[in-house]
Amino acid sequence: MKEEFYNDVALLDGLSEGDHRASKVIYTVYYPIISKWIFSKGGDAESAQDVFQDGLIVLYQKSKDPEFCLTCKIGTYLFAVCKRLWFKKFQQKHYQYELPVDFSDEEQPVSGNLRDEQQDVAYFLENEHNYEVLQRAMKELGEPCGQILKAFYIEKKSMQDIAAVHQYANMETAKVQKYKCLGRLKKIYFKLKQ
Amino acid sequence: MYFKNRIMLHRYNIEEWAEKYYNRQLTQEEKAEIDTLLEADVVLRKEWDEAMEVLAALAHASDAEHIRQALRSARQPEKAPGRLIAFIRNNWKTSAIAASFALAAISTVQYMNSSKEMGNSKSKFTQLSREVENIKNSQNSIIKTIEDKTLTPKAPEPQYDLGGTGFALTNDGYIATNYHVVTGTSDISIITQDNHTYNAVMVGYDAVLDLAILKITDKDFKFGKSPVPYNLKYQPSQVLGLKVFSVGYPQDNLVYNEGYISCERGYQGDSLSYQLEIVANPGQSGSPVIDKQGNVLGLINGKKSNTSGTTYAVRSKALLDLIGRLPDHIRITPPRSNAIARLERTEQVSQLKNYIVTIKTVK
Repeated sequence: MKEEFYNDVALLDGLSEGDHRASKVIYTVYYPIISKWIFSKGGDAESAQDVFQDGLIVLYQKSKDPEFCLTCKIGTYLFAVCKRLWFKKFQQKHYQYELPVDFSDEEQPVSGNLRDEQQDVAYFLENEHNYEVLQRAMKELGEPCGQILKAFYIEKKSMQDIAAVHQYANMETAKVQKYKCLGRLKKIYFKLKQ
Repeated sequence: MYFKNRIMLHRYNIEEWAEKYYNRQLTQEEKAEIDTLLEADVVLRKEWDEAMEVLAALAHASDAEHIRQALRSARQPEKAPGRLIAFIRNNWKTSAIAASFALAAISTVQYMNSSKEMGNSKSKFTQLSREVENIKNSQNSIIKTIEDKTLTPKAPEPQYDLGGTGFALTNDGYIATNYHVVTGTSDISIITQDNHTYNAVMVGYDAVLDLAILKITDKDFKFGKSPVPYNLKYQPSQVLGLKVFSVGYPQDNLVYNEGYISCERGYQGDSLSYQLEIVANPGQSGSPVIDKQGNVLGLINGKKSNTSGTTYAVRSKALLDLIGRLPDHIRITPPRSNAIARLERTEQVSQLKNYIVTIKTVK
């Protein structure tokens, strides 16, 4: 773990390593700016928090991608992503009627990799939609499968711990069980998605 | 392509292989083999794509949960003060400046690396770091970005070397300068008066105050034989009209300027800076502002772009505050010397010059 974040690169490294202090620095520095922009668009504190959280998830996912290299500042990227998320996701909820949104002005070239942001946000929204389906599928899946999958994939617990908690004879048995559960989850997921 | 067919892919183990593939745990050969197998089998392909989608959704759930937790803890008040290096004050006036560091496009405070006056009458704040290699080009591109907001997206900016000035905080290599001089840079070099170059890292900063503290990484480094010859701890009660001078590196040689404090508050009433009437040029960001007794009163950080001499300086008090908030392992005793208090000005400058450095950075 790093002691200090000298610059954007160190901050991004910290974020990808899951260092909470990196997320805290990003939150402290950029949340006031982004929330202010969202308030100016008629959003409230809750939607500002939501947009920022989603934006940070996008940045986090990108930071883990070994091929990702930020060609602009973190702030620029994050702000562009949050703007896009706001327009795509939240604006319609808050307005009964749609104001003509001048995208050419709002999405002016804050950076050179605008197309990346567009793709990143589109990918995020798709995953988020799938995630909602997944949650319903998990519910239908029941126990102990739900718990095993949640512990392994979401809480990132080790197979050893999971084997111990669910009293499997050894790790191998737990592993076989986990893949069976994943197979079942997959079936339910695609049944729900249809 | 021929494979030894080590991989037996079927619908009962497809999740396992998909997971390894998703987590990039496979060798090139294994990946190629799976790709070939999938190409040949449509049913398997469908199962595979579905497994990948579920894995992506699970990974997304995990990422979302991680960030939710991180933000939950970020919203909590700091438990152990001084652990974090980015200090942001809850002050709307000054956070407008912070906003401009991050997002130059949405604020009226402009981020500039050259001295060319803006062609309009609006008063703006110009930061005084210096673009070393190609000032003209940089000016053009920056001014273009400011004036032409409807620019189409273009390739990333070419890399420029930027420069500024810094001054010694301790004899063993801690340096104070402006945050805007070193922000977003990957490589910081310090050039001393005798033309030696050293590497440095940023050990602390405050984006709002526009301050950064650097450390020369060479362990044996010393600025000079004697301790730092000026006093940083002096806070005069009466500053309006006080005569001051400044030494910095707007070019490759040290340049001396003098002037006076013209307002006790800085840009837009900022209470942690002064307004000066002194000549300042690009590259002088980070230069110390010194009174006749050798007290450092602040650091030059910007100027009003529609005037020739109105300059702003961050107060030493802000710098001392930042030093006080650094993590424990960074030991800086602010200089408190009156070694040059009674000397002639030329003597003062000659004593000072070893402790003033050029900062060059690569973006």
